[in-house]
Amino acid sequence: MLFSSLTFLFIFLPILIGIYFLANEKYRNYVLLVASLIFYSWGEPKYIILMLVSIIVNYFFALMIGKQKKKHKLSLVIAIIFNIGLLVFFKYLGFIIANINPIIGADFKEIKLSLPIGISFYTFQILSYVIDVYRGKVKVQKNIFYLATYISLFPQLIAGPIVRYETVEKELQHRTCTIEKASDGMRRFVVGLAKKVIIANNVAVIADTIFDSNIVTTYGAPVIIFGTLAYTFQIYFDFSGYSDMAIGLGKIFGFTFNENFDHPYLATSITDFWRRWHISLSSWFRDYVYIPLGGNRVSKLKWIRNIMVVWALTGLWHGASWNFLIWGMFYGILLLLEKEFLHKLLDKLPKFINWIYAFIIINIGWLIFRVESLSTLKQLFINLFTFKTAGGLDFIRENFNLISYIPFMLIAFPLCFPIFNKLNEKYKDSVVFGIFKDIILIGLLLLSIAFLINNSYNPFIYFRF
Amino acid sequence: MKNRNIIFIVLFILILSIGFASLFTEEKNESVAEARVLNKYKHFTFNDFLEGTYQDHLEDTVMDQLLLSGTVKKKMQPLLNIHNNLLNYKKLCQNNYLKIGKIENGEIYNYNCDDYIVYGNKTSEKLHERLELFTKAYSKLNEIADVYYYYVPTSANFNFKESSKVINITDYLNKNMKNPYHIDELKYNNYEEYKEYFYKTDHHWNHKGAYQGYKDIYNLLNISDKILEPTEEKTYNIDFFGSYSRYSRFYNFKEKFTVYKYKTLDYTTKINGVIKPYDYPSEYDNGTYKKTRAFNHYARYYGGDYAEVIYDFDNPKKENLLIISNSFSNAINKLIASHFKRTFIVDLRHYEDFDIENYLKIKKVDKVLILFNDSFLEVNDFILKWGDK
Repeated sequence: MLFSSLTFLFIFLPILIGIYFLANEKYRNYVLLVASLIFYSWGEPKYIILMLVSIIVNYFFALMIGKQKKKHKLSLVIAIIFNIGLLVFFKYLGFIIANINPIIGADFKEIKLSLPIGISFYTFQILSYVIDVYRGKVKVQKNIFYLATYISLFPQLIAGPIVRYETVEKELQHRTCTIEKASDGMRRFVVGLAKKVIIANNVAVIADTIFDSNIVTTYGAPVIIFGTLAYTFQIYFDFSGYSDMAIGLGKIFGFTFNENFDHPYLATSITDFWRRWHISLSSWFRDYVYIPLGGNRVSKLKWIRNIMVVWALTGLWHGASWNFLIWGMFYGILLLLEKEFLHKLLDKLPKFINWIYAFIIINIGWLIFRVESLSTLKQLFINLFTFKTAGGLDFIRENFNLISYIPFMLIAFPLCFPIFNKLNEKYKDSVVFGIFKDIILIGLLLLSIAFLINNSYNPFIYFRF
Repeated sequence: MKNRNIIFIVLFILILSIGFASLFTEEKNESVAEARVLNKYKHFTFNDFLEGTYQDHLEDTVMDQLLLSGTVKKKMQPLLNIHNNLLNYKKLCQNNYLKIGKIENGEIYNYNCDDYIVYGNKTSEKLHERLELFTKAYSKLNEIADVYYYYVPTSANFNFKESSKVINITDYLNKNMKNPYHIDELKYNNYEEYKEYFYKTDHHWNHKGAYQGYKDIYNLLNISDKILEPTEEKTYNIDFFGSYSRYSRFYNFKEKFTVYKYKTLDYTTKINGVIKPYDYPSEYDNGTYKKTRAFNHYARYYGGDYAEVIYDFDNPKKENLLIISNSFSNAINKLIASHFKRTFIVDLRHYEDFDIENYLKIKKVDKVLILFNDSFLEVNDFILKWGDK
């Protein structure tokens, strides 16, 4: 089920809020668990078994790890192999076979499996749980239903943020639902919904028209740049909108999830960008891959290896395709360059120049991310950096309807910056500003519903990861 | 602050609850603005749920049945179609295609700044690929029946900039189709001639195009009795918004609904086995037709698309005809049928597995007319299935 579906908004959510707040506090986890399982099975009825098996198996692994006085490394290793194995089987096996066959001259049959929704997210959550139990950072959860509630918790189940067990450990046992928390959650949910439905869905039409066109390789630099910018806005408003909705829903039901975005397009370097973009993923890789590999407290060569391993994995986490791997390595190399040389130069330049540098790099990154075919990508880069005669008018003629979506691009750009946060901060004690803000938010909720009724374009980009 | 929070929660819940409650009010049947039947709630079945069809249907139903959903869609259009107000951008559209939207069967364009909507061209690869299937399936029919093909090229297969077809389908069939048959097509050579034969906002041929089609088919079938002549050209005071407008929600162009009137002998019609009228010109003559903007006047005036329509002119001296067609034939079914004893009009989209061999025998069909256009080549339903025979 999608947060931005009418079924969710007008059936699932009102019923759940009603039952949840009528239920006795000790039964609320069970209410959430049942709701989460319905939520997941709504979009993926067959793969719910996979998630349930994963929960049960990891429950016992964690019990085994947690019970022994001297933490049992073998149990941890088996648990990691099991979880990564599932992820590899469902997400990467087809890609591996397709690439191995020509290399070793084999003829392994290609396995085509549909990717279970959210598997990358919940697998990483489970891994963080069993590893943290092993590390003694969290206590083992003996109530399997509570563990299942954590893993399947619907606000963050299918597109993050990747909520670690330690974040919600206490709240799973006891959490307070206050009027302030619930209203803040609802406000945050509306912000996310508006980001997704009003902005992301509409700028997506531009990006999709350009990149899904079968003549995309004939487009010159202006069209490619236009499409890339549209995708840059789309992916931010889509994904951060989802995270806002997830954080908001969490709050409504008494949970506090960590922030996942911090105005990433404000970044003045790539290092800065990755501190602001998909924070839960980059911190996961930092804590569970980079640091265990030795982090930066190793020789320079090993440090380079560590960085490149982490970024190759980050790329591959997004999808079983070469372009994602290249995208990850692209950032790995840039981060190495920044840490070694560039930051000294960037420090000397005005902030605005730094911002331009980062924004251009980020856009190039999204172009690599968006175009899965390597031959197409190569041609687009050639077109991007070589002069191509006009063709612009033909593009406008062929895509005249895109003019209607340009206003959404114009709205998107300033909204990437923390204008509203600053206003919020400045007028936080003003009653009039508060009322004005709430009126705007209710207006945005109604407008989002109107767009949903009117617009059939709705899938979240991060669902497929 | 606390009061403000409570008010916000109440408003938030209220909006969701009003939506929730509206789902339990009396179900709406049709959308006038979209000229379609609305989705209604259906019973839950585990199989549907496993396949995901229950979920998709529920979402569509909520979208249709939600309070004020029709009004919201209507009011949102100007906001999402800014480009429609910029169409007279002469430099761009003079002798050129200007994309204005999408409909079910493809993308639609304004050409040459006229108030006409046309399809974008299909690619020749796509057409070739589909023609192969068509040729194979219908060659087999030629073997067992006396078959006549009439092709109506739409804007999907005519490049107005170059005044030429993307593919000459008649030539292709003449080269590739097996077994004896007869073939003809609606001829036009350029954009100006196209405009004579087709509606401004609907993908069908207009009264002139349809009449030209009837005359061509009359000759193709080698009919011996007298050809029907229009007795009157009548224009109804209706702002006609055709399929292009309805499906793309593009209502900038309109035209009046004009028809030719004919006099035929008496006949009866059976629709899917039940005797009842097929067309409703009388509603237009006495002014009782639906006056809503997006009403499908073409289907109401001439008749709609059914699995089987039978015209019975009860003339024992004449032959029986089977017409396999889509909505294009609606405008001329009666005219062609007037030259036959019984005419059976079959729309293959309504059948899972149409046994034509058996049908020809049971209905004692003498001639078969395949009246097809480019969408015949696009939809698998129009391709005859022969099983293992």
